[in-house]
Amino acid sequence: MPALLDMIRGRAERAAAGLPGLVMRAEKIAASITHGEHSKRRAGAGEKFWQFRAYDPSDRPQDIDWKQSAKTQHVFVREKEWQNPQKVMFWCAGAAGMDYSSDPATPTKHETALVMSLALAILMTRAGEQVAALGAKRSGRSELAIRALAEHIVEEGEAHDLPDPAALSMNAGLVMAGDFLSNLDYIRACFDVMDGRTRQGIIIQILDPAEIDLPFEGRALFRAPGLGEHDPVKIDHIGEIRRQYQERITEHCRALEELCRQYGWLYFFHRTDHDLAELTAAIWDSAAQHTGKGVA
Amino acid sequence: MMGSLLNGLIFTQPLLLFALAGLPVLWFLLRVMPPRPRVIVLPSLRFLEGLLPEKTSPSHTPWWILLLRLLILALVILALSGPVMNPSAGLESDKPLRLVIDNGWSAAPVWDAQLREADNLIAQAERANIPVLLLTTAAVSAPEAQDPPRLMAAAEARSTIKGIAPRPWDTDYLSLIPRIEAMSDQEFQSVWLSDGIAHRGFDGLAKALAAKRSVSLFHPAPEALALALNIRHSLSGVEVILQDADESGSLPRPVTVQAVGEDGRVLGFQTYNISEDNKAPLFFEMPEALRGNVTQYRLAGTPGAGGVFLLDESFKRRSVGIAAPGEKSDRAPLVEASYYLRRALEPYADLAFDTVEALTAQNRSMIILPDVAAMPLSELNALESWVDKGGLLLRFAGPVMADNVNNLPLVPVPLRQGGRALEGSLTGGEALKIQEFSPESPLAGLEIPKDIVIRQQVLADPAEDMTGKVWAALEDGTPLITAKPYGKGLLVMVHTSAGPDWSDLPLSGLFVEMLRRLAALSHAPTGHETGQAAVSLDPIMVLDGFGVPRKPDAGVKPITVSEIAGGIKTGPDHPPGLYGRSGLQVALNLGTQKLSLKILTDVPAGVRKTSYGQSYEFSLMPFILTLAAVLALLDWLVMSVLALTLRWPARGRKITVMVIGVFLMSLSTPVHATPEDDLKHAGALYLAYIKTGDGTVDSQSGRGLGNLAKALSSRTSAEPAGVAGIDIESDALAFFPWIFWPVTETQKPPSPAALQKIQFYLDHGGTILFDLRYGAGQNIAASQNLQKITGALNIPPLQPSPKTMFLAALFICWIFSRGCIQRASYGWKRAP
Repeated sequence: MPALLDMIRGRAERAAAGLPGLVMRAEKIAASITHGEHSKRRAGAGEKFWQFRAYDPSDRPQDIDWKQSAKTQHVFVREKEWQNPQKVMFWCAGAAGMDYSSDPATPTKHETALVMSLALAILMTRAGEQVAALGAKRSGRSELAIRALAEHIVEEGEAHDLPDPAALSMNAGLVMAGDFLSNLDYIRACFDVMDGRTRQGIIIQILDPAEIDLPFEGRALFRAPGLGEHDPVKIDHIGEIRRQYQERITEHCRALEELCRQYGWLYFFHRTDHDLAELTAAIWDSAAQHTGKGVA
Repeated sequence: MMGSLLNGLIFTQPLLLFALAGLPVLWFLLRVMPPRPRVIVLPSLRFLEGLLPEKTSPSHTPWWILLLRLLILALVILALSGPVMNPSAGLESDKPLRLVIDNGWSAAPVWDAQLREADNLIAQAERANIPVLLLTTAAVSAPEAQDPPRLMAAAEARSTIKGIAPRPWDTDYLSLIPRIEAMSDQEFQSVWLSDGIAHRGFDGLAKALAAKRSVSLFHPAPEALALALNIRHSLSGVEVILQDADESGSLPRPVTVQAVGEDGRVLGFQTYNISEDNKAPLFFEMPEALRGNVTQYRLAGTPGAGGVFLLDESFKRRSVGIAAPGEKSDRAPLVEASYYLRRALEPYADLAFDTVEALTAQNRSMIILPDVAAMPLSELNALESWVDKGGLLLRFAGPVMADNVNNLPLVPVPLRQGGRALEGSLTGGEALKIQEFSPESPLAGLEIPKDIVIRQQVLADPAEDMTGKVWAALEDGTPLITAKPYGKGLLVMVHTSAGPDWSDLPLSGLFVEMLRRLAALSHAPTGHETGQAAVSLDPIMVLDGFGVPRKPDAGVKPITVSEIAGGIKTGPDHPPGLYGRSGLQVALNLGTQKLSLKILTDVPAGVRKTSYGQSYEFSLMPFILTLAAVLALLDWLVMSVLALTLRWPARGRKITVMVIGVFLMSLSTPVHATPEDDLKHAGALYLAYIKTGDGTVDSQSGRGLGNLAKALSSRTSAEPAGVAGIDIESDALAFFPWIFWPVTETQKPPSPAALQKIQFYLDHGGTILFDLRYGAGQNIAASQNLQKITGALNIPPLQPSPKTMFLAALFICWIFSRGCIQRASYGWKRAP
C-alpha cells in the first residue's frame, strides 16, 4: 500500500520538521523539574560528589582525595553518590487515532505523547540513565541520544496501537505513551509478554477532552480517523448517549489502570488540554521514588 | 400599496405577509427532513458502538416549543409588514394634499392637536406618495405674501411644518381666498386644521376650498377654544373682561386669571366660572400694595397671545399733581398742606407741584387742590376738560375755601358758606371723630385711629341729595369726604384741610392710606398729551403666538400713540407687545381690540367636519415586536429549565443563565426619582444619603438613616418623614437639608453637572456629611476618593468639628444607630 506508506511518511516528515520545537518544549519542561531526585541519596558508584570521609584502610588508595587531605592533617576519601544507570526504552503509539485533536488550541495526542516522552528522556539522561526508542539499536545518555530517540519515534514509528513486545531489551525500563483505546484483551496479551522482560513499566494514557466528554450535540455521523477498520456510527441524539459513553470510556481507563497495577507498573492519565509539565513532574517524581524503593 | 384586511387594520408592506405561507413549509421541512448529520471524527469511536439512546427525554424538540418558535417568527413577519390600526380615512393617491392650517393667535391652545394631525396627514401623504401644499391662515407680512404657496414632497412638508408656529395676530381668511381661487384650475384634496373659531371670511374660504373637491375640516373641542383677556382699572377695582368665542354660553368653563409681576412671579390668581347667565363684571381682587407690581395679567392654562394682557404705564404708578407752590414756601413747612400731601403720596406716586394749567397739560391722573377756591377761567376750563376726560380731582377744604363757597365749580356737593368749627368756646361742642366707613365707600375697610379728631370742616349743603356721594362722615353724620363722577372723571372733596390746622387727619396713617386708595382709583385719562400722539414708539417687547414675550424682530414697525389709542389691528407689522421710548411705554394688547370670536358651528356644504384626535393612526409594529421578544424570552426560559433538568452541557446553561440575568437586570434598571418623588421629598423632611452603587454600603446607609430618623423622632422635635436614597447624577438635592455621603473606594467621581449641583447645594445652605466609613486616615483609598470629589468643589477647608456642635451630636446619634464603628472620628464642619 504505497499510498498508506506515503501518508505516514508525510506525517513523519511534518512532525520531524517540528521536531526541534518539540525537543525544545520537552527540554523546557525538563528544566522546570528539579532533577537529582533520581539519585539514591547514598554513597556509591556514581559520578556526582557525595561526601568526604576519613580514610579507612579498606579503601583503595586511588580513592584518596589528595587536595582535601592536604588541607588538614587527616586523609580523606572522596565518596561519590551511588547511582545505577539503567536503560529506559520509550514507545509512543503511532496509530492514526493518535494524530487527533478536537480543538486547534490543544495539541494532538501524538504530539503530547512525544513531548512527554522526550521530557522524561531528557530528565533520565540527566540522571545518568540511558534512553532509547523501543526498537532502536542505539542507546545513550547524550544529547545525541535524545535526538535519535525523537527521530526514531517520529520517523520509524509504526502505526500500531500497541508496542511490539519482542523489541524490548531485557531488564530495560519502559515508558509507553499512547491512548490505549484498543480492546483490553489485546493490551493484556501485549503486556503479558513485556512483563517478563522489563523491570519497570510506565504507562501514560493520553486522551483528548472530546474523547472523554463527548461534548457534541444533535445528530452526527462519527467516523474513525485514518482509513479505519471501523464502520461509521450514526448517532441521532448525542446528548442521550453521552452518559453511557462516558461511563464506558471511564470504565476502560479504570480497567487499564487496574491492569497496570497488577503488573506493578505505574499508570498515568493525561488530558491533552491539561498542563503537560505538571504531569511530567508527577511522573518523574513517582518514577524516581518507585525505582528507589524497588532497588532499596 | 395598501391592502385592507380587517376593518381598521392595514399593512403598509402587505407583500411581506406572503412570508407567513412559508412557515408551514418550514415546519414540514424541520419535521420531515432533518438536516444531514455532521461528520465528527472520533478516535474513541469503538465505545460509541451499540449505544442505545436513553428513554428519559423526548427524541425531538417538543412540538410546542417548535410551535412557539414558529409563532415568534410569524409575529416578526407580521410586525415587519407594518400593521397600522385605525388608518385615517385615507388620502386619494392621485391628487395633491392641500393642508390649510389656522395659525392665528387663537390656534395656540389647539396647536399640539393641529401639529399631530398634520404629522399624521403628511405621513399618509408620504405613504401614498403625493405632494403637499401648505397654506397658513394668519395674516402675513407683505414680503411673505409674495411667496406663492408651492407643492412640496411630504418629507419637505414635514420639516417645513416644524417651522410654523401660531402668530400673535388674528387669522386673515379674506386675503387667503383670492390665493385659493387662483389655484382653482388644479385639483386638490383639502384638509383644514381649524382652531375652532369662525373668523371673518370663514364661509368664503370654506366655499373656495370646496369649489372642486371635498374638504375635511378638523375642529377642537369647545373647551380648547381661545380666549382674549382685557383688563380695565376702574373705580371698582381691576375689571376682567373676557372675549369668548363661546357666546352661546353652552359650555361654562372655569377661567383662571393670573397677575404676574416683573420677575415672572405669579402675584395672585383668581378663578371665574364664565357662563351665559353670569354677565356681571368680573373683578380681580388683589391688595392695593401688590397691584402696583403687576406687569401683566394672563389666562392660566390657555396659551395664546390673546390671553396675555400687558400693563403699560397707564396702569402703573399714578402721576399725581398738587396745585401748590411745593417746597418753595415762605411758611413753616409743618403747617403747610403740601408738605403732608407730599409725605403721604411720595412713596406711591409720581408727584409734581405745579400750576393747574401745567398739571392738566401733563395729563396727570390725579390732581390735588388743597384749599383752592377761585382760579382763572383758563385754568378752570383746562381742569374741567381734564376731569371730563377721566381725571380724578381731589380737593381739600381750608380757610380760603370756607369763605368762597358760592358757586364753587368742580365740587361734588354744594357747600355752605363758612366753616364749621366743632371745637370752640362758642360752639360748646367737642371735636368729632370719624365714623366707620360704609361698605359702599371705596375707603371701606380702612382702620380709623381712635385719637383722630376733626376740629373744623366745611359743611355740605344739606338740601342736596347725598345718596352715594358720601364716602366718609363724622360721628354726627355730617359728610367728611364726598365724591361725584364728572364726565369720565371723578370729583372728590375732603371737607377738612390737608394741613394739621383743622384736624389730626394729616398726622395719621389713615391719611396716607386714604390718599393711596384715592390715587389707585384714578387712572390715566384716555386722551394723551398733545404732542405725544404722533410720536412713533419702537417695539420693546413683543409676544409670540403663545403669549410668550420675546425680542421684536426686524419686521416689527414702530407705532404711534394715536394709532394705539385708535385701536390699530395687530398684525405682522404690529404684533402685540410693549412699544415705547424713553419715558413713555404703551402696550398693544389683543384683548383690547374688537375681536370677532364666533364659535364654529355650521359649515358650508361639501365640508366634512371632524374633531381632532379621532383618527390617529396607530402602528401595531412596536407592540407585536414586543410580544415576539417576550415570547422569545419565554422560549429561553423554557429551554433553560429543560437544560437544567436534562443536564445539558454547562456552556449552554451558562449562556442561559446569562441571558436570564440580563433579562432580570433589564427589569431592575436603576430607578430615578420621579417628579412625584420630588414632590414628596419637598413636602416633608427626608434624610438623604448618596447611593454609591455598592449594595452593602447603600443598604447600610438606608438602615442607618432609618434608625437615625427614628431616634430623631423620639428624642428631638425633628420628625423625619423617611429616608431617601439619591443618585447624585440625576436626582435633585435641593429638598434635603442634610445629605449623608458614604465615600467608597470604587465610587466614580461625580460628573461636572453633578459637581455644579453639589456646589449650588452647598452654596445655598446645604450640608453634606462625608463618611469615610473607617475613621480618618484608616481608609486611604476612600480618603483619596473624597479628595477627588471635593477637589473640584469650591468649599472652605474642612476642619474637625468641636464635640459640642450639633453635627457631633448628630454623629454620635448616627454611630449609635449604626452601631458598627470601632473608633469614630468626628464629622467635619466647614471652616468659617
